[in-house]
Amino acid sequence: MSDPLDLAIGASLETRFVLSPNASLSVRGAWAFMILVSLATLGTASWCAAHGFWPVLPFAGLELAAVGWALAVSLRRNRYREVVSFERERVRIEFGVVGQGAAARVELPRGWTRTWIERDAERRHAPTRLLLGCSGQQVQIGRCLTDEEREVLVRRFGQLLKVRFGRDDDRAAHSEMTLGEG
Amino acid sequence: MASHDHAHDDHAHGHDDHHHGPEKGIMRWIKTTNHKDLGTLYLIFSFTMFFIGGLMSLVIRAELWHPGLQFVDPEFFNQMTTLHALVMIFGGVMPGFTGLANWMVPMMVGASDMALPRVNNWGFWILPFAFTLLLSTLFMPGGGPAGGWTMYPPLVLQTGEGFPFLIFAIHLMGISSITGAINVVVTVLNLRAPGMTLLKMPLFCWTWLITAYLLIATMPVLAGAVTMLLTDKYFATSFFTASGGGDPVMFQHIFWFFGHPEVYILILPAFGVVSTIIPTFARKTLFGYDSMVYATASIAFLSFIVWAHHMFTVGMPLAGELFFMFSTMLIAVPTGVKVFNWIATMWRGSMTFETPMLFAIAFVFLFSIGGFSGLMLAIAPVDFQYHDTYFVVAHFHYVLVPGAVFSIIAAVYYWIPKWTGVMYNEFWGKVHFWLSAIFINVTFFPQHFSGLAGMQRRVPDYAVQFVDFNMISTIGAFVFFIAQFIFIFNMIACMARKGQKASDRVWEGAHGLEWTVPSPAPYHTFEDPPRIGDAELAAVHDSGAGYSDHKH
Ligand code: HEM
Ligand SMILES: [Cu+2]
Repeated sequence: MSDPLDLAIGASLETRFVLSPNASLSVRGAWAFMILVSLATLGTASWCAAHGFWPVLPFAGLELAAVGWALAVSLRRNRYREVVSFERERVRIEFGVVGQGAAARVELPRGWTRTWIERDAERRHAPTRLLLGCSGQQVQIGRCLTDEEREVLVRRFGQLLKVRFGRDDDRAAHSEMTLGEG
Repeated sequence: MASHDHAHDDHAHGHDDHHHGPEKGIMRWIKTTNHKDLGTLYLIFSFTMFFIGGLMSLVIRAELWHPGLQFVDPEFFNQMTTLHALVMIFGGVMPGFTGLANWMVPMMVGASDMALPRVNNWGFWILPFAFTLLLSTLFMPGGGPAGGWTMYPPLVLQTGEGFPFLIFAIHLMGISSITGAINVVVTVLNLRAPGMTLLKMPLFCWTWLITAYLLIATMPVLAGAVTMLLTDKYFATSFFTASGGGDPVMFQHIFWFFGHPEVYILILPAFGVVSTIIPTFARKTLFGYDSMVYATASIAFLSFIVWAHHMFTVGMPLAGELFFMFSTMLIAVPTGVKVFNWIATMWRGSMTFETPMLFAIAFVFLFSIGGFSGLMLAIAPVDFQYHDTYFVVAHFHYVLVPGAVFSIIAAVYYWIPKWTGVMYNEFWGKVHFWLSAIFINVTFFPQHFSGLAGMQRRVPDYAVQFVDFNMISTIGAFVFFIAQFIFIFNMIACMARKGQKASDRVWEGAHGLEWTVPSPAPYHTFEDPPRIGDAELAAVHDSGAGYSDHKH
């Protein structure tokens, strides 16, 4: 199996990652599911109510409200993004929601930034934590990823940071690139 | 140098609370929102309930060792049958499957956790309260509920002071099931990794999705039904009270409208487990994946229109008897499709028989026996004879014990090396299997005969001609119970990390995301040249192209 990193290493050193949670549900899909459960749930509850057994109805209503809430919360969370931009001199990390722009922004000097993964020594099953940090300031990113995905990402970040720090010829090679705000 | 304009966003994954260390000791378990922790808690809870419910069944079997009354009074005997069923169904099987879902669904779909981790925590912690309440009724004036798990009025209204606690406990169990179901739904629908379309999902996710649908559709009916019992008893309503113009038979209709889908809630996840295990040890892909999905969906649909097969004897119009008889028989078709697919999967496979596979094969055999007795019961005219006899008891124990329970055991054997990193002891696994498989039949097969000959269920005494069958049953039950300790110790050894280390891919034939520690490109990270403004972010979130080739 070819390591996908080999492909990636040739990519630009001025690069940007957009991390997003898995989001396989569309708004239409959510509605379709909601309608499908409502039909069954409200159908039976109304049948009961029509026969005088109305106490089923409020339970059905409460429950469907919970289902609707869960779907809505899920759809809203799908818009969450973390954007990590490796720029010439800095690493910019932004947290935000699609359509609302970045809500929080951290900038670290690229040359001094480290990346690593922290594991919980006592809790085998606790998720790992992917950190970018520089002199006492740490930023955790990629919570919406799985452990394996964080492993891949930390290696890629490591490459980008190391190359940037160590090899001046690379910097020269890329210096003619137009940089957003460099 | 670093600017950090902080605007907290409650629905975003906060990024600034990395200083909080993990909780220690018991608080870690109480506060955990991690799907693996909760899966473990659910499974431990489930096996605790299996143990308590098992002890109750031993009380029942001891009493039935001989006709006449030996150990307990009839009232207590009936409390045991009632609580045994409630504990096993709502405390054992359902939380067991929820535990498996917690562990496996996120891993199978490639998600980092369940979609609603905090709801997940509440859903679990409701359960210990619910069952403490339920079991505490045993110590209240009037004792626990004794009218059967089906809670038919007017009998159940005679319950003593424990009655409102019974109802409240049922409500809590319902809430817990609903939170579990909703969590599975949003996880499966929303948190699938890019490239994993619905029809590429492992069957366990599919069967759980459909189970969750059934739960959502039917739980309000149960909640409403038990609430009406409560108001009938304490608030002078007469939903089911004949003297006030109500109809007790309508309770049965309403209960079984919940109850029959419920029995499929207890078995569909088992189908998913078996459909995962058999291909692994047959070293073939599952035969007829799509037909499995459609069969599961049709079983779920049919389960809504067969409920009155539990009430053939209440006096329905002939048309009703016929409708429910034929609709019930129809269920045998999709069920048959599944059994056929499992057998076809094994056909000419290079099979090996490790413990999970043994349990899965026993499932196919013995569940089918339960299906056959179900078909017999579905024949309305003969059900007049079988109804409320030990034949029914034999039927549902075949589908529930070597069915649902064996599948949970198989799943734990199958995945525990993955969960703990330690292989269980195969020798003791096999011993456990053979003792279980033999003695479950020793316990329940004779009940077919005593039932056909007329022995009634839920009665502590019986006619002398049934003695032999009952003694065999009781012996079987005790040995089966004791044999389960082999399993418990084997699993505790894994959890204590005593045993051989397991490799990443424990079973050579296993497929699926949970067995690979995948090193493909980060699935939903997206790398591209700079110069993308915030406004454009919407365009890049679906970077799914090309992912699908990493899997399957
Ligand atoms: C081919 C499929 C099945 C058919 C045709 C079938 C049919 C029936 C019928 C007709 C009865 C009522 C018997 C009576 O009370 O006189 C019954 C009872 C029962 N069945 Fe099934 N069944 C099937 C599968 C299942 C499954 C998969 C489960 C659970 C996993 C299950 C669990 C039960 C239980 C718990 C009862 C007894 C409820 C009670 O009265 O306490 N059955 N079945
Ligand atoms: Cu049924």
